[in-house]
Amino acid sequence: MNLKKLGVYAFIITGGLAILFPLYLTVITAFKTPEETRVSFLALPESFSFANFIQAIEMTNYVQGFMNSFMITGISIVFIIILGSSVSYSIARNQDKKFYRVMYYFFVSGLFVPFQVLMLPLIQQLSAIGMLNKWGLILLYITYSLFQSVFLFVAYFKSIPRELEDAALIDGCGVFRTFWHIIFPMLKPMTVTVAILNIIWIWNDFLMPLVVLNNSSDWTLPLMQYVFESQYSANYNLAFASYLMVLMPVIVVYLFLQRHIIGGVSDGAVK
Amino acid sequence: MNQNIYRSMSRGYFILLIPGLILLAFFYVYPLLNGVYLSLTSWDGVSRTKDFVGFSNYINIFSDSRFLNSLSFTFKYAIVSTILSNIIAISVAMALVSKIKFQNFFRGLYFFPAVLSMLIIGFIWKQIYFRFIPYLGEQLNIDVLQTNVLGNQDTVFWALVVVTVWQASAILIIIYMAGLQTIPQEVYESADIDGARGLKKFFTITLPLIVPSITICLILAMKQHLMVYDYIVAMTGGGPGFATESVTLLIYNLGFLNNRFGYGTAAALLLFLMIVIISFIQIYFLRKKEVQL
Amino acid sequence: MKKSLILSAILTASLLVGCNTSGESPSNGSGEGSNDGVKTIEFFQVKSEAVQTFNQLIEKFEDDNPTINIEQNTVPDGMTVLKTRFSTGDIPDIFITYPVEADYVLRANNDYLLDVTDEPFIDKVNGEIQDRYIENDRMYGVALSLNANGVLYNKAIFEEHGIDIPQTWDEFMAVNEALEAAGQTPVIMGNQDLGQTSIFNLNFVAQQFDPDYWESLNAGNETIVGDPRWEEAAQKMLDVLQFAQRDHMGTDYDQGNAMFANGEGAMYFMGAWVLPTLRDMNPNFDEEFGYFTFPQTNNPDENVTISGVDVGLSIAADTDYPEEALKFVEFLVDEAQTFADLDGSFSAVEGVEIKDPVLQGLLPHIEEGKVANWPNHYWAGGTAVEADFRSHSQNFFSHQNIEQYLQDLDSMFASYRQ
Repeated sequence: MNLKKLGVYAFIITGGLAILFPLYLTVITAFKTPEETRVSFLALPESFSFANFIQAIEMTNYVQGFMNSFMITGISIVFIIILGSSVSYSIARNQDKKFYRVMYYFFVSGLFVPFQVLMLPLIQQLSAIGMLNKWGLILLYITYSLFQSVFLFVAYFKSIPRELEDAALIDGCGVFRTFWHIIFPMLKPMTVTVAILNIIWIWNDFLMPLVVLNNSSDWTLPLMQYVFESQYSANYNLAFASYLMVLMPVIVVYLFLQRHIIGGVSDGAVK
Repeated sequence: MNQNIYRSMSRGYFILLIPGLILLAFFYVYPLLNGVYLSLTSWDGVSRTKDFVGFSNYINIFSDSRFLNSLSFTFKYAIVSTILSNIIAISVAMALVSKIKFQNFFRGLYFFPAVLSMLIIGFIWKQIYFRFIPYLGEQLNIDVLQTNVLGNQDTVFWALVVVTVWQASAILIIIYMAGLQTIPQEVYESADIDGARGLKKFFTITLPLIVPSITICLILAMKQHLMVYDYIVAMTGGGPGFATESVTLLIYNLGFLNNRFGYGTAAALLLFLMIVIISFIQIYFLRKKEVQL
Repeated sequence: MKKSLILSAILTASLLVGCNTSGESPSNGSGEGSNDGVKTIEFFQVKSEAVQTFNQLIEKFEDDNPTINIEQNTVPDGMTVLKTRFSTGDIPDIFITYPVEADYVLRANNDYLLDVTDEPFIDKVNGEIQDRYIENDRMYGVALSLNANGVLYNKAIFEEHGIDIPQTWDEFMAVNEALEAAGQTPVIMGNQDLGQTSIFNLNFVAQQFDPDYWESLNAGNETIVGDPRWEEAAQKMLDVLQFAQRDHMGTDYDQGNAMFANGEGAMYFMGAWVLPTLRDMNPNFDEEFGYFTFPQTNNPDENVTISGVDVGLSIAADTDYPEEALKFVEFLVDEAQTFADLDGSFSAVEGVEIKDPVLQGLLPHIEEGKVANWPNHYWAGGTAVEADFRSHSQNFFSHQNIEQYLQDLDSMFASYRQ
């Protein structure tokens, strides 16, 4: 190994440690007692105690927050995929018509619009129809996901040959059946990408739940964390245990689906 | 194709479009237009009437020192974070695509911060700045680090940039890796014959070839950083004083705290306009630099 | 074909169903409210410290009134959320309001609040305090408890250094100097939290200015820059700041509480609402800590304790269950003694005895009437201007330039004048 190679490794490993350090602190502090933390902030815990976690689960209403996050993310994703792919199919297969070309730019235009622009009028509007709750939030996620998913799906359709579906259409299969039985299965790689991008977004989102969810029984995990942070931030061990609990589902999923996630996110970003 | 089938097909396509159209009309177009209208009124959120004030919100906002202050903070933060995270991402990506062992492991590790909640990351770093950095400052005898850097108006900016770069570089690394891997090995081989070395090789060969990736990364990072909100809420609340009040936080405060819905929406529309303009400028200039293989 | 029709039908239908179900019960949390005959009342309260206290009382109330379900809703940034809910018309049935304050006045004048002037429970409340709710000869809220803002101190540290409770400003500064000379941290502050900056510095502002001044200021007849009273107040803020722990700008509320409860500093400028939290952090809190009045001046008779309505309740004018809401409010007034015991606050209700050992330290002063209401309650702009004031104060604590601070305050107040 030459000197240059050594330098590359040193650089990569230093960077890797910088990534790991905050996470290392989070994990060890979550397992320590306040006394252990006082003695040394950096040392490993003497014994791995789950007391902090149990207390954090109770204090932050973790189970309810998890269920809310899970439900909001899950329901949104199902509709995001169905709606995103079907709308894109309709747009992608009619690019010879001006109306659908305009529609494409209309759907994609939202990519540049910050949520803050819509936020204030939207809250009024949702309140007027009694939807400042998780159903309203889910509808917003479905709507705002369309900007990106139409962009990604329409691009993907260009790589799908039309012969197969043309045959099906001529056989009298109809647009819906052709879409569902022939097209949708072929979209699978992009469907995975869209699902991953949106799961990461919705699971971690903070601003939209903050302004939309009026009632504490609807709160998602990040919102719960925001609320209870002020009540125990001085108890580091408890605080870190609860941070870890919020990150844990994502960490577990990441460990198993790392390759898909990295692929999906980079596909989504590059297209 | 037979006329009937054709007609039912075009009806079918249109029906597929309808649910999406309804949602967009309701939750995108309507609030957007409503927002434009609100920005022309002085509505306070409580009164039952909305007074039309023309463009005075837009005129007033440019003499509002608080808005200008938040605008300058947001831009400074976005530009510095974008530049730093891109430099780091290119360096790491180049190291990772050079033939190293455990490439997949490192790629997974470096990408990891991208999937984590910005709010929670903010909380974790807040604790690090309160507890660990002052400890480090005492051990190393660095005066400025001995108190919480988030409580000091001179250092809070850099404290936020560090967190941002820590997390935002992750996705950029992956994009740059993808870009770098498309460069054929022959290009480098012929450069070696020409005698290009080190930095020169980087600037004359690598960089021009990854301009498409750079375009994407700059737009992505800039847009994200101009809309910074979660870190600010988690770590500083806009303080000390107004030192880290981002435009997004100001919009939130104007709308929900001060009940200045018209004014707040005007500020939001200006932010929107700036993001669009900046994105197009970036695309325009980088398109010109693109090299075709 | 059928299948896909069903699919798109489900798609659209589920969107519509989503609208319908939630439209019927806009803010229904626990699901209990759907039982027939049970009337659910949303009680929106912003004091996270008081959640447990209210829960106990609510339980008792619901036992007596099985057909009424009180749903306590406490959210972060509660006052901001409440404003939003007013602006969107989604108003809770019962909520906390502070009298005199601009938000209260605005809501009362826009017919958002139920008139409670003639309710029998009004007579049970201390008249002087209850009258603050008068707006156009009517009252739209009832005062339940009072907060108080003073100096908490660590008895052990005071004894160790032979220090007596300071009665005047000079004595107070001497205490600070003596403690610092002895290597103690005289004052703990949590100034990273915006909320904390004003709890400290309003002490000086409240002592200097009376309601007439604020009326004049709101009308635009006063200038802060160059006013010697403001200059003195600002100077005193800086004087005290020097004695705070080194990292006071990097310490937040919770961290400050923990430091003080663990004996890391001698004094803490804080309102009585913090007592339950500190008791949680230190089981011996009552024996080890005491309270005294903030000595803003050298004349003990001129020193004031800031005290304002802490829990005051209003009912939405358009509530579905006005009778039940009134019944709950009356219940809370009747249970004022229990509330005071659990909450550790002063009561606005007549005849309630203060048993809290730490609060006793502030009691004589309050009974003598040497109190001032929170100055910010008189400011045009309500909670919004208060939030700005905190940011400007935090900014001032950083740059420590009095001239700049007073200029900022001038333009801040100007921006809220109509």
